[in-house]
Amino acid sequence: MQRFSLTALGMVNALGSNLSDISAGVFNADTTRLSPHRLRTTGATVSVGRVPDPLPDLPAGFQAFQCRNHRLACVAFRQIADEVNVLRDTVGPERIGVVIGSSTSGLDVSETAFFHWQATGTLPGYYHYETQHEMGSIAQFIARLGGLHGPAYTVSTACSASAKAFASAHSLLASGFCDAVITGGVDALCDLTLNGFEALSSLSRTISKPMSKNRDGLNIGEGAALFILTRDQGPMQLCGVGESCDAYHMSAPHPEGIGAEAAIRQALHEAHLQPADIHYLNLHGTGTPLNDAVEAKAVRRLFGHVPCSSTKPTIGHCLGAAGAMEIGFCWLALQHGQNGIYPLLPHAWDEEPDETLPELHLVCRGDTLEQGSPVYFMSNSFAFGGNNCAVIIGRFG
Amino acid sequence: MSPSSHLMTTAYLQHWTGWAPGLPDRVSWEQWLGQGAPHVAQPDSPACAQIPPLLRRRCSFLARMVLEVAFRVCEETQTPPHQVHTIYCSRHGEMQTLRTLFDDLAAASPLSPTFFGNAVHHTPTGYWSITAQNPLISRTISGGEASFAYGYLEASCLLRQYPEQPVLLVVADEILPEPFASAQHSPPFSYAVALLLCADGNEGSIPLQFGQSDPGTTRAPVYYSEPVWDFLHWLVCDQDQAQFMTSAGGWQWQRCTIPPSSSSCPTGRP
Repeated sequence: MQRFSLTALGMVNALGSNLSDISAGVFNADTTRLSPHRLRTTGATVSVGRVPDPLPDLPAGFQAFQCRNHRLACVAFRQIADEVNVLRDTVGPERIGVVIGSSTSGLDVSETAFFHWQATGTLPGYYHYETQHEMGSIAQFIARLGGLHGPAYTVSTACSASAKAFASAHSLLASGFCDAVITGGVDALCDLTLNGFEALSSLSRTISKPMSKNRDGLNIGEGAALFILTRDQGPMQLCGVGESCDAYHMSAPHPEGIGAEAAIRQALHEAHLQPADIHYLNLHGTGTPLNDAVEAKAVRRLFGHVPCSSTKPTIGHCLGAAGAMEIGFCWLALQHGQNGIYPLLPHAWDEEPDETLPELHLVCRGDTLEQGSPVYFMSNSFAFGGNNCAVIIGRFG
Repeated sequence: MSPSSHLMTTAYLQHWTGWAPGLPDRVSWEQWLGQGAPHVAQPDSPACAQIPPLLRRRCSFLARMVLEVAFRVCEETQTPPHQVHTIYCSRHGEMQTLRTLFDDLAAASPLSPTFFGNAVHHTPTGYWSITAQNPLISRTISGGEASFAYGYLEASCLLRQYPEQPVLLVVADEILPEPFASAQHSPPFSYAVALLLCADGNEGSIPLQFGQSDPGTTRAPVYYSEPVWDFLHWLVCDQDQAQFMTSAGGWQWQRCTIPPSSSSCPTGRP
């Protein structure tokens, strides 16, 4: 597929509210930023990747959009706002689209509004379902923030949503409907997702330990990662996206990872690459027993010993924002490369390998890649309903 | 000729069908759209004969409606259901399922794993891929009032990228539950509509050009709260009207009477 440039990135997650703090945390596999949270339904205490910094209020005129999800989006958007302004003046606001992955949108506001309604019989005055919780609202909010008039919609396929947003954003550029697209993902912590994963017995009681023999589940996180995708010939490019379905089970992956493999192969095909061309792979790596077993099989089968890691223990599994967040980490690693040497993202875990899994080349703290241009990094995202996505980005020069 | 300078793409609408309580098939939808009278929905549930009973019991109502129209539009065109790309669009998604879970959250009761699994926005597409054994691209989007137009836009993009694969476009929404129904946009009745779109035409398929419309151009009259119903009304009832603009604004469809391969019908196809 045609390659387009990823020219700017804005991010917020448990590691920080700017790229410099986030880089410091993720390249050090820092898992100390997760914080305790008591679950409403079972009373258990789990670790969550809550954004610790106070979130700024939305600008005047945006009060109807007020919710944690959209405020997270605002923090990430401000980091790319200058570039968006230049772009809007260059190509025109109607030529810039917004495609955002999310699983929650502003679901947390509907929860509190519902509790209020149960107690009082009326919805609270601050509650506006259509601009806070309705799934399309996060894309429309970002379009309004940027003064953008192109297509603006949300991709919502749970944990693969913001990886698949790159596929839709690419489609809008390739078909000629847009000259630039703001794309990425936003998700906020809420009772529903936390207690839902608890019901599936998927939450770790400590910090998740992907690929470890002690792995016992995941931590949930939140945040936003927003990119600008343009027709420019910049050094950082979106090279391939692969999408597939397991067609197997609603909440469990195919035991042999055939859907995961199909998405990876499709991404390689779209990028005109072979498995050996991939220099680093960011795993889905949730730390649940089943995901890691399946993913290890598929990765080993396809890539052998490619350097790979899961960064989820540093920020939690950001669900609808996870794909964009991890593509963001790949983008940071490629961006930080100098003179053909690139920092790799360390695998965050307890360093206790699971002997029953195929052996993977898990990146250690401080590991680097020495590689001439171009350099290709890949990120995997797998979701409920067997919905899979793999994304390849590259640095050229 | 296109009256606007905007990019237009051409796709062939091979078939469409719908399901809603009291409107179980295309014939009843055409009658309803033709009468112009409001539909009074009666309690009903789609048969979903293609879904194995065990799986059917786990499906959300929205998923049942989506699978009903998805299988039917494939069957009636002899299209193998495992060989289509799928675009599903819904403004509200699984709000009915969420409402059930909110009750449990409020009572601090453990959530049902099945209900939680069914609460994601793309729930119907999971059941669809499993039941149809379809491993191909499946995208789920939500874009407010323009959800249908954006779904059609996604379908157009996929047809351009993979012209050999038909695209199943399903639009579905449910009546919002209390307390969300009273304050917000809620369709007058729950429904699902499936469109089967192809890059190339065959006998009986309708070539449609689709693209953005100029700001300020007159919009089509709004008959219904759901833009896809207005679109179907145009398709079924306004045979002499060449052009349709969605009630959400910004997007238009045109009947294309000349084969798109002809140079007099400009298209965005590669």
